[in-house]
Amino acid sequence: MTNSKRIYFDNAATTPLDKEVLEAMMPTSPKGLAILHPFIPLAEKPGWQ
Amino acid sequence: MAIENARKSVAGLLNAHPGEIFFTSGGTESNNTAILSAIRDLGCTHIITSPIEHHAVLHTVAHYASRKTISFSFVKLLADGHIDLKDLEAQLAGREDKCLVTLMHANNEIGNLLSMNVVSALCRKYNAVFHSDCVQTVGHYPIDLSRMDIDFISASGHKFHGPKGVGILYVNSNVQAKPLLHGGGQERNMRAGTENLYGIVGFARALELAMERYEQDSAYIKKLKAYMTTQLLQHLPGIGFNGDYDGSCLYTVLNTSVPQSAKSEMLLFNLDIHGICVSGGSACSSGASQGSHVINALKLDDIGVAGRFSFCKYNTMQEVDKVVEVLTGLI
Repeated sequence: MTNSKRIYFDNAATTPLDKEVLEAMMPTSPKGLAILHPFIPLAEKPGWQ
Repeated sequence: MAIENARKSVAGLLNAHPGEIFFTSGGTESNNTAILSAIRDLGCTHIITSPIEHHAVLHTVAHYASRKTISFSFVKLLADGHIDLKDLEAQLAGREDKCLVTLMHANNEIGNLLSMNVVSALCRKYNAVFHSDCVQTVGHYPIDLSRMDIDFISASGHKFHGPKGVGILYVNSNVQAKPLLHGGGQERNMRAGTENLYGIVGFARALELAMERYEQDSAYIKKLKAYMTTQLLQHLPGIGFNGDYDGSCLYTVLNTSVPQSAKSEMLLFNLDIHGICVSGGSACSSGASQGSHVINALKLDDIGVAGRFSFCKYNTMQEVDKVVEVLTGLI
């Protein structure tokens, strides 16, 4: 590969995951809390930035 | 709770009832479930499909046909790759057994869009079941299932900036479908197995964002595609495009055709060396040596080397310029 930055024109195969989508999926993110089971806390709560 | 909220959100965005939305592992599972259900639960003994469907449909149809309990036929294609709707009607009219029509909304390689309402009306006229693989269009088009008379549609999260490994199957509330997977009561007994909770939440969020931003994102991507088309025509004499690229076509896909030559044979490989990711066919069959089954099915007089450029909101005009520059040097 001669370029340091790749150009991705294969989005019909897979699109990059949106950051906002990832946040919604993360149980420790402020916007992802709804995923947590109400009675089962995380074994260890990782930091969230 | 999170799954049911996601289901309500997805149903709302597609204008369906939450009870019609089932989460799956993706488009392939959804297609398999719909096809099996049409055969087993709805009594279809003949399947009409096209030779340019995704392998998730083609191989599934071939699998059931190999058991000799059902038959299948391909609908003819027009010169531009669109489905020949007259042939579809002739086939439906000529059969006495119950048919499943499974045709994709947008072709994943050439982008051609199906006239869903016309096909739907034909299916209703001849009492056929209609399934559409909408993997390339859910999240890229406003889909209103309340105005679309269809039995099944399939969708997949990673096609619109959602996570991989999650999809949906829409089953019209008038259809009594049974599951593909057994052994659990999840998805209201329709899909056994622990749900992909994070994926499902991600799918719903991705669809929310896609629909919120549809107008601006689609307008931007259309400009990218038009710009690339113009630049390629200007800088690469002899280049062509497969499918109805400037007509009824997905705005995210541009399938190019460059004349066969010693240089162009290694085109995709050389683009990859230059850090440019494109596809010669479906990603799900990458590595296959026989070329694209879609391009082969078009039966073009002059088959060039096909390259599928597919865009998203994160691509830029500068990237298009770079690709055109590299292509010009390669060919």
